[in-house]
Amino acid sequence: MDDEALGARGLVVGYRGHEVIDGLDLALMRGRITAIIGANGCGKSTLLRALSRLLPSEGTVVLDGRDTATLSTREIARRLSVLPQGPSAPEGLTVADLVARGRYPHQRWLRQWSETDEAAVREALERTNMTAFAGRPVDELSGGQRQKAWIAMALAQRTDTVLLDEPTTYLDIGHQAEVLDLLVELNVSAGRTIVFVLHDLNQAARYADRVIAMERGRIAADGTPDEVITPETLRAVFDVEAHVVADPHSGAPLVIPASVPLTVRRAAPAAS
Amino acid sequence: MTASLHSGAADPAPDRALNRALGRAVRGPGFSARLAPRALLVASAALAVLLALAVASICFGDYPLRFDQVVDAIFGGSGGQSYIVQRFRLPRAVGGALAGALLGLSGAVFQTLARNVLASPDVLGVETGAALVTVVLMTLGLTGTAALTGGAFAGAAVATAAVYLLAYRRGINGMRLILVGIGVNACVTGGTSYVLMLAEVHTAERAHNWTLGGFNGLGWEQVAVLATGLAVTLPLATGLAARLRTLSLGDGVARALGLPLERSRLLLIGAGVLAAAASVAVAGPVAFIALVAPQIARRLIGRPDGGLVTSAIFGALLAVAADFAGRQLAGDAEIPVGIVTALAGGPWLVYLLMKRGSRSTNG
Repeated sequence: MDDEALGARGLVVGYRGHEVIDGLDLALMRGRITAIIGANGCGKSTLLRALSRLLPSEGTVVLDGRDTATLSTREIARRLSVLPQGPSAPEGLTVADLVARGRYPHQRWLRQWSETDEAAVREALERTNMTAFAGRPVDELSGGQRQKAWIAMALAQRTDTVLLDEPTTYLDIGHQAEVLDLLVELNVSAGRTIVFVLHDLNQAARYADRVIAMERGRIAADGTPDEVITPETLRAVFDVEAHVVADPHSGAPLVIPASVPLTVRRAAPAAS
Repeated sequence: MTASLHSGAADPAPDRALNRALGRAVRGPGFSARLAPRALLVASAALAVLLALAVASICFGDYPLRFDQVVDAIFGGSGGQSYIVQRFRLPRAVGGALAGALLGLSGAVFQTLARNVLASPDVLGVETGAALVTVVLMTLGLTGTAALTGGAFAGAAVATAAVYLLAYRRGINGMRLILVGIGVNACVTGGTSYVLMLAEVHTAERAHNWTLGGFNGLGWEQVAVLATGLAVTLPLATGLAARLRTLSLGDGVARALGLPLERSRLLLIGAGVLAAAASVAVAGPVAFIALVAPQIARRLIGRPDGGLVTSAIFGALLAVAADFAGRQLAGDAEIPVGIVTALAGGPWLVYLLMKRGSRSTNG
């Protein structure tokens, strides 16, 4: 089980001379859920995009044991699906049509809708609980359903590895949990390797096997949620004072920023 | 719940909705395609209306002809009536339909590519670019079909390339493309007016008439140019339809799905420019057809997919209808088709802008 699904060796990514990521090594294991966290601008989305070859980079990215430089973009898309941050569908596009587009890397000019294509689309709709919405336009759905429709598109690609850039941002709390539960389910029942960039540390702690904390383009901490989500790491990476307690529900580390409580604040001026 | 003939599933309704959303599959050895029954229905109906309109436009005129006379003439009859049909009315109807089809196709490609219903060859400089070069050539006395067609192509390509390059900033944004297009169009149109002002009066009048856009005087020579244009661009564009659909999800997703982004975009823009330029080179700039035809197609099909061929059919339908109206409405005088489409298309554009203005625009 513990072989590498996706990895980087000496990865360098930069815009016009100044490098966002400068020489990064990483191995992401098959069948695991990995969360990448870090402050704004630390390079976590850049890392995800470089790993999925959406951004040009130097160094080597290894996918299923092969250097991605030797694979065509289509071959990469048959092994690795990526959901970029905040995608938007053309007006009026139905969920079924969106999900069907996930089959693009498998299709040929004369083979646009094979039985496998159709089966993959049906399965993706089923897994995401979106079958009932198949005929609805994506832009008329709620934020959470829309995100699930996009995840279904990525699933229709039928890749072993799925990368997602902030899949829960802009969703309300109920839909955040639903999307993350769905991803865990995919991992558990279908064995997919999942890598996501998350903003919310508590979600990273609760839904990932492994947490990678990034700071200024480097990996600042890497390990299980218990190893990474600590007051020391939070201070170093996010420059925040925080308590970490055990989540009473799951036992995962739970971050509580140590700002002065409102009641204490209100009481303070009177004291002076 | 009504009783269902469907025996297997306990609740067939969601199944049926899913099947409808997925469309019909057509499969054979080494071949498979996904068909939307409604899109086929819309396309066939539009084609039927187009044929009826074309026949009507051949029947009516200064010298009215009966349906059977027209049919007789089309299938090789001789005599005065057949001469009118074969020499004037048939090439005009066929040429008009082809010119409109090219515009509809071009509009569908650009609107999907830019993900904006306002993106059309009119806006992207294809028509004004072609107009400038054509007017310059006419002023210089170069009025052969080859020179004018080639010049219009060159003008269309250069103007579109200018708009595209000026709007490019790490990818293409639909709204920026349109705004740059408006700017470039204004400059090019200014240039055309300047050339017209300098030109000798007869040349200027002729060139000016061309810029109004019209099907008057279309002969078989022009029909051949238009037919060649459609024979090249329609298979090219439909062959690229899967790429176009993927591109319309945005650059990030398209790249994630393994699409060679810049190459696909270049090919599609090439097809779109070629289609519009062929039309403009022969029939002059006929406004709004490229803008409106794909929208009618999309609205009737009910989804943004599968619009290329249907948009071409609606382009043809609109062109023939506008030409017919232009000949019938003004009595003795004939209103050029470009003026009819501009008069009818203007309000549509205002309606569209107002409707979009009341919602958040998605560039």
